[in-house]
Amino acid sequence: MNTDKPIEEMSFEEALQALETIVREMESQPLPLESALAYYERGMRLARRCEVLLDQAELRVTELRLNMEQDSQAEEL
Amino acid sequence: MEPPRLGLSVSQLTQHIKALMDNDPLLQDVLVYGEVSNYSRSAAGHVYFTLKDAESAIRCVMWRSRADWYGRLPADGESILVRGYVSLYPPHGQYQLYVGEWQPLGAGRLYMEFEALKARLQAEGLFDAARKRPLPAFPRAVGIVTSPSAAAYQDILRILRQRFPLVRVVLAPTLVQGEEAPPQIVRAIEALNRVREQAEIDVIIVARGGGSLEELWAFNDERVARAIASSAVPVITGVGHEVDFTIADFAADHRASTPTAAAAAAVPDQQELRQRLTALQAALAQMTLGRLDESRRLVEAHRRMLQRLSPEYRIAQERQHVDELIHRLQQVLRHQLAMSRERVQQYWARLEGLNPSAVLQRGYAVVRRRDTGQVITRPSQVRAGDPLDIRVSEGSFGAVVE
Repeated sequence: MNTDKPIEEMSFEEALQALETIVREMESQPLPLESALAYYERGMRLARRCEVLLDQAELRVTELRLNMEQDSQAEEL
Repeated sequence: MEPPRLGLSVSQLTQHIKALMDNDPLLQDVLVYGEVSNYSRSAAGHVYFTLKDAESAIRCVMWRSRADWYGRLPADGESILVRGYVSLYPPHGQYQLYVGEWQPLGAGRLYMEFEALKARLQAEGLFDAARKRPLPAFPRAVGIVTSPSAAAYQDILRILRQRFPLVRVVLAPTLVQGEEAPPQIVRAIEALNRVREQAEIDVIIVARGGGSLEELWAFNDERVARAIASSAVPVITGVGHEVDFTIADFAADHRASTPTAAAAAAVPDQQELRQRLTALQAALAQMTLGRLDESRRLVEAHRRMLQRLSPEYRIAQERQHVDELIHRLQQVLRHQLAMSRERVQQYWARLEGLNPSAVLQRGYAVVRRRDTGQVITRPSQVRAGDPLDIRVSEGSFGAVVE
């Protein structure tokens, strides 16, 4: 199990991929009970993270200010 | 009035002329160019105008059903090309051009330019399928090149908000028609590419709502096509309606038929994602429960095995064994007892049979010499006058031998 990044900091894609990896691993090999329970718990936490991200998301829009010259800046809309 | 003998009626004359027209193949399908004047639209929606040149004019009519096909209709003073048939309307005594199709006179040239540019860029390989990049599954931010005042922009935002509000939007505003549009579109695409790392732009949408060929013309510009092709970020185009294909569409990594479709192509749908999450959680739970069940069964099996090895179990086993042995012993004893009893019974019966009392009861007597007690079985054992003891069944008495 990859424990590099705390779940609370994962992006939606990272959490979803980690969750799918866990399910795939559980399906492909018989796990000792303790590992299975640990995977289950981590998997559920990852799923929860995904759901929270979707539930709390609000579309954020930024507009680029474009000049005739080459530079551009970002400012909040 | 009473028909005269000579001459045709108006109707007969009119029908004659009409038949001439209706039977003339040229008049059944004719292309005509001219200038529009006296344009009007009836309450029913039918379009009427006059098509003229320096010396002549002809009345035209386009029925509403045909007119509705077009996003735009002819304007007074415009030079146009029409296709239709010529016929006579008897009640008015007028011939008219019934228009089925029309186009501005300049449009033909535009199409030729379009085809030429398309061929040239295609030969360069700009439209090759191999150049097209896959779209990111979960873009962190999407860059939008469009006019912020247009409905298309709001449509895109609505779709993004609905499907995947996690994505961030970076708008690069631009004109979407007119001569100034192509350089602005190019600059917008380049600007989004420049900030793509810091703004995490993973996909770009270039969009414009529906319009005529002239209105969409900016997206057929060579500069726009090259900017799209050289964009480091994958580009989705959503220009016009389903049927509109612009050069920009061919150069894009993915062509969507409308701005809304472009937004839908750019991001996943949260409903689908939620379903996927539910399914994954269900699989997780099921597998874990299965694993728990398995473990429980294993523990139970081990417990039973362990029980069989435990002292209590062994003692109970032994006790049971002893009980069994006792039981068997008892059975054997009982059996032996029974057998002995039976043998005794048999002996007793035999003994009973040999019992002298029984013999005596039958009337026999035991005769003994009084002096020696010897039992007499032969007459030679006695002489006359010898005293005898005679024992019978119920007693005894004395006797003397005669």
